[in-house]
Amino acid sequence: VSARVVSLAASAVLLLGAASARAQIPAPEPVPLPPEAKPGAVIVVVPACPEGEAAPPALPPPSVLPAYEPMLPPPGALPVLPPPPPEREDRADRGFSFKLYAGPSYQRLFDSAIGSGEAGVWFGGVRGISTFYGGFDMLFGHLEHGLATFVLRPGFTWEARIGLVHLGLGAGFNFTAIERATNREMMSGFGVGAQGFLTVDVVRGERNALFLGAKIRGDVMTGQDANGDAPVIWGPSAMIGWRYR
Amino acid sequence: MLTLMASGGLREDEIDCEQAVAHLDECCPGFTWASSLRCEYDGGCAPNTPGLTLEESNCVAAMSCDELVARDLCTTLANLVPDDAADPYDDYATNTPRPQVCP
Repeated sequence: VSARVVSLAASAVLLLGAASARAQIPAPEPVPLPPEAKPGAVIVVVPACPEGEAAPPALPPPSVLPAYEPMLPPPGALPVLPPPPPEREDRADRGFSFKLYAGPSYQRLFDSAIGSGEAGVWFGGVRGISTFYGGFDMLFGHLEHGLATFVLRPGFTWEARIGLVHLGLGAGFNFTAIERATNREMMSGFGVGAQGFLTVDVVRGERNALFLGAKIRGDVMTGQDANGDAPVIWGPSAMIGWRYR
Repeated sequence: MLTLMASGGLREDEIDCEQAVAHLDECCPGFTWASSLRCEYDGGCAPNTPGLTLEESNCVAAMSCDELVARDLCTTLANLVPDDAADPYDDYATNTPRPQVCP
């Protein structure tokens, strides 16, 4: 008990001494207003250095300030952390994709030409530089003497994205119908075929692109030509299209 | 649709025959309405072949309208009797091949 009383008394004495010492510091003199000061003007007074203290040296201009040098721990002082796990594949390189296109097409069947317009709708998924699509092409046209021709080509494609250029291959089925001149019924055939194509993005947004491209496709069909062989429909197409992703 | 599914595929002789008829219809107004010419191929024991052979079809399709009219092919082909020489089961067949109409 006596030690606690003694320490309390000592603390009280120290506090009183500090207060009286602070009370001895003279209050700053009121600064007279300059005659040109307007009413309401704010005057900033910079306190002078206390007597006996030297003014701090003027700082050099910022351009010559010494470079900040962080204080680093000596090598080996920090524990070595394991390397961070590899980052997941960029989400921009995977996800849903679809594309639409249309353009002129020139196809050959036997010794006849089919002038036509073609359109395609394809849905798929992007993974890395590859995109896999499923969908179909439709072709409306006519043979040289005006017989209406319709071709439907469902199938699958794979394409590789190399910058703005997309190179693709595909395979699928073919259903072709040609109108008769004699009774307006349809001649038809089924087939399987393959295609190769190339597109170039001419306008690119964040997640979509306008592209131009070219394609060549061939299908072996049911039926027969003059030699008894299976007919082939083949030919090139040009396209302008829009692709999401 | 059933007709389409049952089709025997795309035959060159049928398509060329239909193209020739389409060309005749361009050059000879009302040709298909007036003509009994048919281009279907129907396989079987007694195959029914297109009314024009491949050669005739290509010949007609390659002619200009003036040539077709000058050679009176509009009338000749509209009244063409099908070639029944190939039908061995037709007792009334003349068994005489019809003359080639083109060239």
